[in-house]
Amino acid sequence: MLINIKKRYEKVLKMKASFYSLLRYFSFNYKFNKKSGLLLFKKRNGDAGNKGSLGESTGVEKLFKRRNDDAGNEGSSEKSTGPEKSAGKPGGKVEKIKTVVVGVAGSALSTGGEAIKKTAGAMRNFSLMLIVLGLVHFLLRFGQAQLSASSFIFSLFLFILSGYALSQAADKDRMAILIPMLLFSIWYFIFKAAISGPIAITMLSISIGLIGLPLILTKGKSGKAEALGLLPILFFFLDLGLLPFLAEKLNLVLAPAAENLLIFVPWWVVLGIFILPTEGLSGFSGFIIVLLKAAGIFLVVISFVMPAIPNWGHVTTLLPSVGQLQEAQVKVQERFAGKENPFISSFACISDFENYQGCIDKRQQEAAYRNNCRLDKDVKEGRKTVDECIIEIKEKEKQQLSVASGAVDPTIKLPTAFEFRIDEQFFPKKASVESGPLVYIANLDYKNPRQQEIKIDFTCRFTKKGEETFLGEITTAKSITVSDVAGTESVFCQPPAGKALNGRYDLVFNATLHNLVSRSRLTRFFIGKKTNDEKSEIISELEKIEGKSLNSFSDSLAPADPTVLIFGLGNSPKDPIISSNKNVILALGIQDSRKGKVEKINHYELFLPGVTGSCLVGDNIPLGSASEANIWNSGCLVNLPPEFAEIENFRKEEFESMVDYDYLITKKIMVEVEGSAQPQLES
Amino acid sequence: MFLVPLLVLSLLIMSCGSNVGEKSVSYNFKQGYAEMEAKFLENSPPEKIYPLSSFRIVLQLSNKAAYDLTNGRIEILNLPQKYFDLSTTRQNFDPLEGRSLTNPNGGLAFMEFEGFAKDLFQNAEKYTANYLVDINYNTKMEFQDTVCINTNLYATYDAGCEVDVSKSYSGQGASLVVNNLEEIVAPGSSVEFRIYLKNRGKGKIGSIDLSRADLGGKEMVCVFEGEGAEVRHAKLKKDKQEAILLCKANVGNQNSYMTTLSLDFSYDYELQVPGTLNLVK
Repeated sequence: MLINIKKRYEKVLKMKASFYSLLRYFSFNYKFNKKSGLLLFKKRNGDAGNKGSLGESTGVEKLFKRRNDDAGNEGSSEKSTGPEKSAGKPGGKVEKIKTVVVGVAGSALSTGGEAIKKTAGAMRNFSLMLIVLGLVHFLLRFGQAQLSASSFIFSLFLFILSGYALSQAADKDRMAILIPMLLFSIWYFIFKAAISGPIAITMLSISIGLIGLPLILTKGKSGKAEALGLLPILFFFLDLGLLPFLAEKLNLVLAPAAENLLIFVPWWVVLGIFILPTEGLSGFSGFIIVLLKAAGIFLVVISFVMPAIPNWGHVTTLLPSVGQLQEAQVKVQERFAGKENPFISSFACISDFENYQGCIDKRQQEAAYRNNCRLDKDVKEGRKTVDECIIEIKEKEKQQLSVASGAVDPTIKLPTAFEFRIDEQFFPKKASVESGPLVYIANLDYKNPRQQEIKIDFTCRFTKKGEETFLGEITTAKSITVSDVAGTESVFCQPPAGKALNGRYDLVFNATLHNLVSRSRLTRFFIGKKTNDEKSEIISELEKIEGKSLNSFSDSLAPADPTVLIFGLGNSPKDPIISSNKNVILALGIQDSRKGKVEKINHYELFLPGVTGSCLVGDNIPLGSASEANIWNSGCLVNLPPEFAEIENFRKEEFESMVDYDYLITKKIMVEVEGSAQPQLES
Repeated sequence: MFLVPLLVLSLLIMSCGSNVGEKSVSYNFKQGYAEMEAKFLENSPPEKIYPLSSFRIVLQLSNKAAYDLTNGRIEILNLPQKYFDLSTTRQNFDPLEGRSLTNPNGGLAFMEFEGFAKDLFQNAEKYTANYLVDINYNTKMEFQDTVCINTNLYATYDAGCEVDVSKSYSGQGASLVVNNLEEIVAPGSSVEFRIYLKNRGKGKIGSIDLSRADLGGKEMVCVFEGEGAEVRHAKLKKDKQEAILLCKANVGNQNSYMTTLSLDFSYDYELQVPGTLNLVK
């Protein structure tokens, strides 16, 4: 019996020690009232464990009391039962400690529950902040052609905010979430995302250490926090334009749905929804949040899966610089600026079963037109409405044929361009002879980025419908020479002396541009004498090197000048691979942009070193029908020099052509003298 | 809490030098697979090249295989002369020593190409030229293994060795590796070996020559299997970088014994390294 007592006593002491340590762990202050035999406890931060004061009745203490009541005892040992009674005082204390442990445990659970609620609340706040700020960031940036430093800083701020928001989700060692974020920032911004060399090895070693050590010390508990730290990195990239970069740099072929993902997804909002906690939400609202989260995960996954990824042997660094990402983002945004959000288009066309895609395309096009017209100068200044502008654009597109068989050179952003413009506030649309001499002013706006020396002759002509036509008098310089990059030349036209105008006339301003020069270029791959199998091998090798199909080299490239010489060279004109065991053909054409009219082709020349043929040079070319864009064609067989004919592997070369021509720019406007009809602009 | 040990660990890691390489006298370099590594030196070529300026393309060639490289030739392909003028597009390089105890890092060479960038087309903003550095060289591979010869299959009192019908290997320190070896014994007379060769490198093998095939010091009769293969010469297709060599030896009827099978191969290898030049305004 004595042994039993001793054992029980030792057991009590152990329980007491562990109980007190338990209290300390859960941050309780405690005090044992020897007189009453009660253990009083209070949460250090005054939590609702016992409503902030010692001794008040709480649910826990009620349990405490109930237990004691059940034992028929409010603290004294006299009414102890069973083994406690035989143990005497120690047994009585055992009873109390047991019940207090139950009470404390219950309190701890409720305290833990409160902690969980607090965490969920904090996460909810940060998630909402991320959603709202992410939306603001998206709206501010959407439609801008140029990404600004402030936009980048905003994105960086959201990166840090998302890290802090995610840290709320980690159970322990929340600050560990910053470790991968910090490591990434150092590696990407300071070390320029190096993936080889001593820097990369050093960074990798440090990363392994900084990530691994907390894992070891916390026995893996910080793993969750560290893994969560990767999420802000991923979304930071997505927001900056990783996907446009993949498209531009790696020449990925994107499906329309993938293109929509590039530009129309507010990534920080997606992350905000993703980390929104569901605690406290029940029923339908909780279901919606879970659904949105699943959609967010799906969005991120398919945004990387959808684009086809070709062999990217040229990439020496895996990750682009911030500048490259932004540049790619800008290019994609430029293409999409002004278009309707495809989700809205899809929703609006949902009832058009027969022509669903056509309906979406039409809405997208209309939105682009509308946006362009809103930015149009004439619309802004009130000279025409948006609808009138849209009608004009559609008319022009019907008439205009682009430089089709040749293609527009994407590396030349500034073509040569000439256009007449009428300032209506200074133009006497309707005048009276008595008001004095009539002066009609037109402005020739020009862009001459290559600073060609261009002689321009001005004339003007009055035509009365069904009646006479006569030349007007140019009272400013009739002939000028321009060589600057851009400018405007005002032209005054007056009726000839002695000629009285009466009625309505078509007044046509003409500017003949002499000796305009346009150049085009063509890329070809010479493979010498190869068999078909060898040719196929070389083609696939070349496509790997170039990172795209060789069909992209089929056409000659030229800036969007008034007229260009297009040409094709090869075993067939559009085949970019030239074998020297077959005939080599040179095909030429003159293409008019129809912004005016080609008056004369003075001279053309193809610069093909060593190549001989009968059509490489030409002068005073006769022109075809003005109703077609392709106004002249020619061709001949050519002979290749040895350096192109006898090639061991393959050789890439680029050739140039030039055309010297005279071009006529016109502007027709109806004027009225002493009449009641309103003048109309006709182009 | 972790700050101090983290800082200490970072300092320790950062103060570590690069791994110089093992110098153990017992290290066998003729294992695994390795080849020449070629990479551009930083800023050669530069990220952006301006019209009418000079530039250099410098390649670092490092032989990581266990065999010397000879007849090295390097050529730059696909750069249009309209934009870039290279002093030469083709160069030979001296033999590069393979990794060994006396040279554990292998031979190292730097190949430099001087270039001059011409003008852009009209007022173009930029021109991007994707090119290829094509590296060709000859090298070899030596295979040696101890095999059991036992033509007396039905002998019950032969306490010698057991024939290993099929064996796999992890490589012989080159890009061409012997993957598998099969031994087929014809009772009482001869033994046949099927050697499976494969290219495990990033480049392409053009052709393989068998320069030596010995079994226990005696020459074997070997022939490559497959379309277009000759007796001791095989041409590999670019899309199928494998070959099978069949070797036969008459060993007579005797008790089992262990002996050395030695095969030496020489082959030509092509490695391609892509690059990009950006000519900007």
